[in-house]
Amino acid sequence: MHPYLEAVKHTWRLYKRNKVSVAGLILIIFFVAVGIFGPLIAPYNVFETSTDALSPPSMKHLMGTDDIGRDTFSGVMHGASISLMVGVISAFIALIVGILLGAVSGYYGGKVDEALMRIADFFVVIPTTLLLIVIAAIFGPKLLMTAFIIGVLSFRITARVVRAEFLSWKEREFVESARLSGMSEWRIMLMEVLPNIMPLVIASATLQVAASMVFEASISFLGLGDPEFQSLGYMLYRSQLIYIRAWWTAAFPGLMLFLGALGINVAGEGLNEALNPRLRGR
Amino acid sequence: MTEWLLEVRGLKKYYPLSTGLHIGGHREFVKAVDGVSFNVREGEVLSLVGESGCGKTTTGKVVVGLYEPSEGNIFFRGEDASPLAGRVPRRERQMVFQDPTAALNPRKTIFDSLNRPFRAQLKRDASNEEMHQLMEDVGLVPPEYFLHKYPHELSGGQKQRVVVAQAIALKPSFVVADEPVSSLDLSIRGQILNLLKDLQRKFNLSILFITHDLAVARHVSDRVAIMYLGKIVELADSEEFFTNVMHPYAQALLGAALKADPKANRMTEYKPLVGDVPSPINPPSGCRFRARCPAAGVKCNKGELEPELVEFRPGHYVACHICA
Amino acid sequence: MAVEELLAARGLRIYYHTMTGVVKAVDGVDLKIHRGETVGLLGESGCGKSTLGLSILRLLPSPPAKITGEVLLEGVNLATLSPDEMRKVRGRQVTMIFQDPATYLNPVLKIKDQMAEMLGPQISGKDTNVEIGRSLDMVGLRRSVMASYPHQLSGGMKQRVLIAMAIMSNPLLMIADEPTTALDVTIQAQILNLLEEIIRKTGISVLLVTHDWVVVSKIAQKVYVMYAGKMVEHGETRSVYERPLHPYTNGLMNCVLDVNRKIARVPSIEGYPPNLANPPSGCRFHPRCKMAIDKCRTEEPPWIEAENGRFVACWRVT
Repeated sequence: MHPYLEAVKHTWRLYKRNKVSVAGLILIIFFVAVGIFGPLIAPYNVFETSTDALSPPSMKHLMGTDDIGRDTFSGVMHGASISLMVGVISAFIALIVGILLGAVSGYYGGKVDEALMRIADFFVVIPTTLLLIVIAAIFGPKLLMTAFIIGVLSFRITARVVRAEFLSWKEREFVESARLSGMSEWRIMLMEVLPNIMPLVIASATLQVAASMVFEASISFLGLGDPEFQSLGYMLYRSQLIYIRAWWTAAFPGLMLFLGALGINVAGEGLNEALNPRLRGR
Repeated sequence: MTEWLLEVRGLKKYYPLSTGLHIGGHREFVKAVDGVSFNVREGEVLSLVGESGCGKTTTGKVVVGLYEPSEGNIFFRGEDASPLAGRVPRRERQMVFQDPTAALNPRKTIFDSLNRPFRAQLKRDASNEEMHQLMEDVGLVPPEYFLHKYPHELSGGQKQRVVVAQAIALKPSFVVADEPVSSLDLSIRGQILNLLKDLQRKFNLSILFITHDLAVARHVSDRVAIMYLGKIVELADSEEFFTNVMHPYAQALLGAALKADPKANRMTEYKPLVGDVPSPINPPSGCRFRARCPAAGVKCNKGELEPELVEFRPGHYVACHICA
Repeated sequence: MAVEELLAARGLRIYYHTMTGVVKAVDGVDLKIHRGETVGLLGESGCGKSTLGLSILRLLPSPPAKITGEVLLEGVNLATLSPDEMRKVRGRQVTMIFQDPATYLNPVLKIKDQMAEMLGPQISGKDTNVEIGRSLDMVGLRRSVMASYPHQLSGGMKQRVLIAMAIMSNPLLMIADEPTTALDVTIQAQILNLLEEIIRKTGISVLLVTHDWVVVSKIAQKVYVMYAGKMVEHGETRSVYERPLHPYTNGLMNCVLDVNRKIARVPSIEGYPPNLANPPSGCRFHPRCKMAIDKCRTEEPPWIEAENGRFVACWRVT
């Protein structure tokens, strides 16, 4: 059987053992389900106002309404998918940048490695939130821009994982054997080493999704969210003015966001744990 | 044309102690190989024997073309054999690695791993006949059973056969075998050793056989070279070496090879060498072996000249002041 | 002539319950070590010898390992001891040294601190240093080693430190798991000579777990041969060497190369060691045995005393 399938089966068995991680996985599935199907089952248009402003949860509005009569439940359904989209886009960007930089750094080592790591360190120092604020202030809040910037600024974690993996895998004899076969360095990196590294990288990227979601929520909460898209964070922002009178406008979006991030974090950690001991046992 | 397939002259391989960006300061080197010269004929098996840190593996990797030498020259069929020169085709020089688990990509099938040299150098897939013949050559039959398997599904001995197959896939002239049986169980070693000998005869391969085990060396070599701290201290035809071993270090290695007979082990009073194997970072001046040599004399001392390889008997070279 | 039995294992079974099935690492093994004896436990990779050695000191993680059977130390069944009692046995009455000394020494502690830890709280201060110095003397190390860190010592020196730590408490039994395998040939000879000397001076009993017949033949009076989780032969080392009874022992000893004699075809045993999650039926060696008969394929041979002091598990012998 293909090692990937074997590895997946084996990893799943290890993963299952940690009940907390499995709970996290359930949360993710729930959140993703909401993210995908939410907009379909939302009874009202997110932007649709009504005269039922600030009404508490009822049969008509399951999670109540906000100050201009918009349905909170629909907002949450919709917002979940927005937050998820941001998380996934930025994690994907972080993944690509991280893999590229980590691969070059780890594989070539030496001065190239040192130089790239210094650059990466520089990126850590940049206060992400502040930069996002500044950019939003200049260009106006744009969801995709936000997602993109979060991704670019977050590459370091993935890069670090990828670099460490490359550093360790490149010393193995099968890489030397590949050189003796006549393969070029690039092909060796891509076709021989990378497939062995992907599982851990994916685990790291999973955690990045949650981190990005929370980042975006923080920006929106500060008022720099994109009103066109109404993410969960944006809903929290709007609720600031009214939550004392209408707790549901903050509680439900907040809870949804919390569950999503929590689930991803817990599941991602569990995945890391499940993958790590197996990989470390060489 | 020269009678030698491979000529190595004054080979040195130094590794700087720390990498990265440096501003000034004193650089120290690990002198893994510190001036090694030898030749190998076509169809000959030369063993390179020594303990850890002597530089035998590094020598092998430089000679096979994986690393550039720091100094010295390597000639293959008279051509400059350094990797940068690019004059020797990749297929001519290959390697059999020590640990078969590390030498095979865990995510590739046996077929993919063996196909690699064909795709990389011949720009095509191996044909069915070529693949089957290769598997038969290394004793992995029936081929269909093994080709679609992954390394973790094979035993140690089977994996090592795959490693050998990788090396001979494109019919090289020269193979460096780096401790090919050291990580295998005792009962399996003979299988691989006999396989290598059979392949050597069948394809008239030249083999540089790297090992720390003199008994293994005796059973496979035409000639033997003993290394210590980056230099060759003795070099001779195999039978000549084992009958008339001369260098004190080589004698110690031979003496340390224990016997299987418990009675024999109790009767021979073997005095082991004192001290530890020194580090290749700062080898002792004068003769490198003097600190542990039971026969060291004044000429061997610090500050004196290092002994050179001198022909003491026909074809039998020793680097030792005392033997002179 | 009845020398006292120090350690006796009876019907020892060590099964690992893994996600892919039950691995029968050790499957019904009897073993005896008498006082003052050095006993070799010989076998190739995966035969269960290291597992057996570790199980005596209950150093196997269980679960997943499940241990049944008896291990009697001076008549006391170690399996019945509480973790605290077992801790008192470990490191005091029974000690262990391993293949790679580097992994068993704490890189951030000085040697003397690590050795002091082994001595425990009973001794302190000046007495500690005296004890440590004495042990270092016994293994041929200079006292200055006390103040060193592990990375400053060579492989041979580190192994000497481990041996010193193992004999400090005057234990009854030392288990040595491949003590010289990772060492260079010339250093190996030094360490074996050292072990011989220490055994002579202290009268300690030793269980030498190894794949290397020549090491066994150098220092062990008796030997047990294991294959695929089962004991296949036992006897005095000389006797087993001169006349091996079990086909595996015979085949294995043929594989030991003599540097003084070249033979044309290097001997080996056909086939490969079996998968312990799914071992062959009957005698586990039968797929590779040139002397196998029908009975060997279906019934497991019993472990019996074929001659005085010689035990074997083989249908062709009995």
